[in-house]
Amino acid sequence: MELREDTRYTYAVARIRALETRSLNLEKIQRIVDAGDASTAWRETAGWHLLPKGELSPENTQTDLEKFLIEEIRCTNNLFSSLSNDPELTNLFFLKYDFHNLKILLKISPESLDGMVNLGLVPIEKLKESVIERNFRELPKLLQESIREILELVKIDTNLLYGRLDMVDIILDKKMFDLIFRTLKRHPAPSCSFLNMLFQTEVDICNLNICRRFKRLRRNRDFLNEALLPGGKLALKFLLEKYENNEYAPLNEFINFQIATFKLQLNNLYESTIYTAFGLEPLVAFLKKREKDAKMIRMIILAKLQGLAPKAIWGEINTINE
Amino acid sequence: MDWGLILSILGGALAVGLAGIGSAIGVGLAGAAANGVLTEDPDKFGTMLLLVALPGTQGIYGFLTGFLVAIKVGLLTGKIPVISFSQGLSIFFACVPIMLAGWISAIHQGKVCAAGIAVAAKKPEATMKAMIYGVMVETYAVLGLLASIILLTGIKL
Repeated sequence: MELREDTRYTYAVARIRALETRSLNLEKIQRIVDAGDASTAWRETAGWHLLPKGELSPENTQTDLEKFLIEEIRCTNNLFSSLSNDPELTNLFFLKYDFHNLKILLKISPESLDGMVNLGLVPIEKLKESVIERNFRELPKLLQESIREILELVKIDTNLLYGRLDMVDIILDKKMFDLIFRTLKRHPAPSCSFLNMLFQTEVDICNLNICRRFKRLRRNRDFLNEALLPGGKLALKFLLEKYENNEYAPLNEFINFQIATFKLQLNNLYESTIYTAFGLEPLVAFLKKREKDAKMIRMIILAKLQGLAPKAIWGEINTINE
Repeated sequence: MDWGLILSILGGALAVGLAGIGSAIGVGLAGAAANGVLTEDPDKFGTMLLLVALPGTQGIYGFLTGFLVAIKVGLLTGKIPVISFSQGLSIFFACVPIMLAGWISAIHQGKVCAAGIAVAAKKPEATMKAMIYGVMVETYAVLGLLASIILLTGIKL
């Protein structure tokens, strides 16, 4: 990793270090898992919250939980944006929500908002309106051109799409990562090499999952070639050969191993940010840790609601940590 | 006014100015980091204070050197002796150690202290260790000051 200091982040990194003391650690997780019921488990999360902690009502525990956690993630995202000196780079981390919302709009129905997440750069109502009216002038510049191109592609491929809805996912994922890598290429911030490594690994994990899904659906090599995302560290030619020369079981084994390796690399990348005193890296690691913590809290409390034993919950936690 | 006096004053002024600039940048960096921590944990003010103040010492060393030059050339008493060009140049060069060491070390000390503040925010028990690293940078500013004082003392007018 290139060693360059970005002293614009002095305030931000110090604030993040102070906030990191609130993150979940093994001891806190143990207490939440050992709690007698869902509401006690929720009480044990005190201190993790950036917002005042609300109480879960016994009638609507799951709805309340989802609502509180979404608000926490929104608060974390807002903090991440406000501490950043490179909004163009921090916005890249919210693109996944916008593209997820676009997938729903294009695949299901532009009229419905079900399943959409209001955490992206564009509020879901506004995104819906823009897609229906084909008017993108009010969208952030970063998205305008991409959405226009995506809609053109989707229009051309409509016939194709009826049979293969996952093509929408593929087009959108390709566009999203293309946008991310183009932004990183032209941005002068020293943190870009870190972000490049991060997104490259994400592309690799995405490609491996595509391989697995396609093999299960018995798709041919040409379709896979069309679907694989460029920009990762794994050579596409190597993946295609593996795909062609293996049956599902050995391919699945290979993919599981590769994904575990890449996830370990991602974890190491996040952990390496403790050595960065000045830069965007600790902020990114904090954002990802908060997302992971929220996922873990959600999983534990839902497991508590279903009456799962602590031992079984630990098994689930390990799948998040993998 | 002759060139000897001009060079002497220039040396003293640059010692104060450059060391002061370095300190301002250093304290600025450490102060920004401390404010980041205080936003989340205002009780840590006392712990942060020393780490923020540490890069400020170079400015004091620069000022001290400037003050010694002013005494040396008689600016404070008004009895200004005749200072030759070579004597003036000697006084100027005597100021160079603190001028440069103060300027550069204060900026780097600011960075070390800012990083130390982040350490103290996450692990309060490591505050003293973080401070020791900051103090290690200080050594070179102190050496610069000592060199300037020794050189100035050695110049006979």
